[in-house]
Amino acid sequence: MYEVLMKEMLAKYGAETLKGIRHFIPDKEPRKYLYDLMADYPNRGGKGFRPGLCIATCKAFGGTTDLALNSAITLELLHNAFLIHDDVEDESIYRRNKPTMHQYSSQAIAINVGDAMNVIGLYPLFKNKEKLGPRVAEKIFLEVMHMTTESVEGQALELGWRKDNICILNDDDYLRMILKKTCWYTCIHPIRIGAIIGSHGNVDPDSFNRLGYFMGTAFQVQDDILNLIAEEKKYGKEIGGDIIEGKRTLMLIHLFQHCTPKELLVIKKFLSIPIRERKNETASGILELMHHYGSIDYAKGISKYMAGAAIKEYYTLFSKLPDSTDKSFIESIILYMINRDY
Amino acid sequence: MAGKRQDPNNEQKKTLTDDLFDVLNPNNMLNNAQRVLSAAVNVLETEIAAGILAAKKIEKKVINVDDVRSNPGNLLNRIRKDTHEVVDLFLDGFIALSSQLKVLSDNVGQQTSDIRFTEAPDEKKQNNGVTILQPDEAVKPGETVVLYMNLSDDESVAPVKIQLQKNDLAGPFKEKILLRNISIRPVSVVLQPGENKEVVIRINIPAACKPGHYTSLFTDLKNPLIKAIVNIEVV
Repeated sequence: MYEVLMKEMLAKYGAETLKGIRHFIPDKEPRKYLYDLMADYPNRGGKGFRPGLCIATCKAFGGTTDLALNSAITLELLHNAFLIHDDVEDESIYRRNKPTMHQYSSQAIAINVGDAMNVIGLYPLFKNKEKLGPRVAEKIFLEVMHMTTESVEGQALELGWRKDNICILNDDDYLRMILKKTCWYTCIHPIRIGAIIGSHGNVDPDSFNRLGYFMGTAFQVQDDILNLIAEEKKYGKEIGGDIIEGKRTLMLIHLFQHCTPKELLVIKKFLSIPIRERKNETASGILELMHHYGSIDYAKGISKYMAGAAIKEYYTLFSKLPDSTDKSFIESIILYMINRDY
Repeated sequence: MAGKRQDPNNEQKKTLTDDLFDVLNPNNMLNNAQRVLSAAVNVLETEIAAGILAAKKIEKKVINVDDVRSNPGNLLNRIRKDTHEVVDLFLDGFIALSSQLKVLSDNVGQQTSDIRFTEAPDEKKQNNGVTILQPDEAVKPGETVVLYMNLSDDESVAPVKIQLQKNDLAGPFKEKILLRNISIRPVSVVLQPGENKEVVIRINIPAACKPGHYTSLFTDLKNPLIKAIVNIEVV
C-alpha cells in the first residue's frame, strides 16, 4: 500500500518539477549543443526523490506546492548537473537505460551542459524572493549553498580515494563520505528547505539533520546494492559498474577489511589500472568475494538499521503535524526502505 | 542476516508492525545497530562542528561578522542535539514502531532546556546557542590548555545537575587527542536556580601531537541543548 502511495506521489511531484525545469531552460540558441541537452537527463524519468521530499515536507508543514516549486526545480537541476559531471568523472556508460551524455556527445560538451545547469539552477532561487519574501528566500539560498559545498567536498573525498587507490578504509570513513556526498543534497536539505518554506521560516532546520542523514544513508547503500544484484534493465545502469569504477561502496570497504591479504592484493591491482582496461571477469570475481565474505548482506543490514533509525526520527518530528497525504508519503519512503527485499 | 523473513507462510496474518519487527530482526541486531548508529551520529556532529568553525573563519575574513550573527538563518545555525542519545535511539525505534508511536513522539517533543551558558574569557557564543571554547593562541605539543566554562541557571525553579561528557578531539588526517588527555573538574555540578558555577577543562597536548586544528563537541549527559565546541590549534 505504502509503495503505491510512494510511487504515485514521486511521479506527481516529479512531473510538476519537470514542467518547471522546462520553463527555466532558455528558448534560444545554441540548442543542439546546450539547451536541448539540458532537458535530457531530467526527461529520462529519474525518481524525483529530492523535489518530492521538498514539496511534501513543505505541504506537511502547512505550505503549498507552488511555494516549494522553485526550490524543488533548483534541487532537481543541480542534481542532474551533478549526474552529468559524475558520469564523466566515473566514466560511466549508461544512465537510466540510455548512454550517458558524454558517451553520445563529448566530454567537453557534457561538462559544459552541467555547468550551464548549475547556473540556470540559481534563477529559481532568485525568483523565490517574489513568492517567499526576502527573509525566507535568503535562508533557502544559504541552504542550497551549504548543500552544494558539502556535495563537492564529499565527491572530492571519494575521487581522492580512487585516485590514490586507498583501500584502508572503515565504516566511519564511508559514513562521513556518504554524509557529505549524498545525504545533504538527497535528503537533509530537501527536507530542511521544505520545512522552512512550509513554516514561513519558523522551524529549526537542524532538527531534520538526523532524519535526512539516516534516510540518505539507507537510500544510498540500497542503491549501491542494487548496482550489484539488480536486473540491468530495471536498474538502468550497467550492473557491477560500481566495481569497475572502483567506487568505494560499503560493500567494497567491507571486503577490503575481510578478505585475505592475497585477495586484497588482486583487488588493489585491479583498481590501480585505468577504468577502461579493467576486465569484467575480475569485477565478477570481486562480486563473488563480496558474496563469499557477506559484504552485501552486511550492507543490507546497515541500510535497515539506518532506515529503522529514520522512522523513529520521522515519528518524533512529524507526528505532531496534522495527518495528510504528504506526511504519509514521507513515511512511505522510509517504510519502503525498511521492507525492501531487492 | 537482517532482512530475511522468518516464516513466509504466516505473512498474511501479520500486521505491518509485525512485518517491521521481523525485518529488523531484534534478536541479533541491537549491538550492530548501536555501533553503527553511534558512529553515524558522531560523524554527523563532528562534520557539523567542523562546518561551523570553517564558516566562522570565513566570516572573520570576508563578511561583516556582526551582521551575519544577527541573522538567525545563517550557516552557523547548525547543531541540534548531542550524541549520547544514540544509545537509546534504536530501542526508541522499536518502541516507535509499536502502537505507541504518537505518544512517544509527543513526549520526546516536549523536552526543553532552562540552562544557559554564561560568557567566560575562553568562550565565544554564537546566536544559535553553540558555545565555542578555544584558547586565545595556538599551543605546542607538550603544553596544557586550560579552558573555563561558566554555567548559570536563570530560569528553572529546581536544582539542575550538569555533567559534561568529553570526547576525543579530532584533528587533521585522522589524528586525535584522546580522552585520557582531557579532564573536566568538577565532573558534575548542581546548579541552584539563579546560581553560577565554573567548570574547568584541562587538555594535555601529547608530545607527539601533529600540527592542525583539533575539535570536539562536549555535551551534557542529559540535556542535549547544553553543548560546547572545543577548538584548539596545535602548531
